[in-house]
Amino acid sequence: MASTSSLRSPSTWVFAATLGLLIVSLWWNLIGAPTEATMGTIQRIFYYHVPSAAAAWTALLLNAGASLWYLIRRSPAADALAVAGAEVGLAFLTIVLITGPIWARPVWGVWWVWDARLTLTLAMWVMYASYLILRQLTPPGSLQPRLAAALAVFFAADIPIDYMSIRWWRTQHPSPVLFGGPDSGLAPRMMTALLISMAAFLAVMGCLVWLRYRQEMARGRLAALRQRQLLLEES
Amino acid sequence: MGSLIAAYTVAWGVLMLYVLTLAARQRKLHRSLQKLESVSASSITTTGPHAR
Repeated sequence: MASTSSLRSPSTWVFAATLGLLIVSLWWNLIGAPTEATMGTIQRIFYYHVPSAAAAWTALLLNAGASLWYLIRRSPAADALAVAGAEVGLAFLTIVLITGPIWARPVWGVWWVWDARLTLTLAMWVMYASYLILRQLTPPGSLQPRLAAALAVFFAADIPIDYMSIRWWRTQHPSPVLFGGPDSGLAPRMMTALLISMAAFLAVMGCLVWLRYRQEMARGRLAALRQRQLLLEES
Repeated sequence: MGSLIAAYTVAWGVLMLYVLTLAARQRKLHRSLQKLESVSASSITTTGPHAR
């Protein structure tokens, strides 16, 4: 009975639809999109690299919004959403930072250059990793989420700078293909592949943030129950 | 072709690793909850009206 009701729950259908979208996007990325004339098949890394960056930025913006909300309202739900956003954002940033050099090595001839976009993305990874380490190392209490929220709002300044970096400074990283002015753009089938992949990665990000948020809320409730148990035992 | 396979494997690998981490944490939470439930059940039986 329990399994039937869990199958009927909306989240199961959302997870199934996300998995379906990922499979469709994989077909478009590998078969549906035409092979690029100069780079060949290596260019197909782009269909995972760019959507991962979009998913990372969205999750980190969620972290910033939730942190700001926590500073205003002291809501435990906002704190849980901030943790979820930072963790999922960091996972997608890791994908960006690994797939980028795998593409760069055959195309640029080097794994890494200290270009504005690459440097800012690496700095962002370090910032959010340190944010999560700080949350792990400091003892739970009223100061820990406040300190983390203040740091998260401060760190969020890197998100728009990282996004705009390839528009403000023309260095090694390729110029934007979306919202990049009259010279930007892609062939129609390449754009379809990119947009489907973007939708799939954003859906995966949404599912992971939702799962992590629920887990963090459950952990908070469990900690409160444990504390109540200890008080009962003492009295 | 090798680079493409490597990049896609990394992306799926990182996501799978994260999902597995979430599943492990969920199991840990479940175990903690069970432990707490058993402790509170035993304290109710030892302090409740039927305790000897």
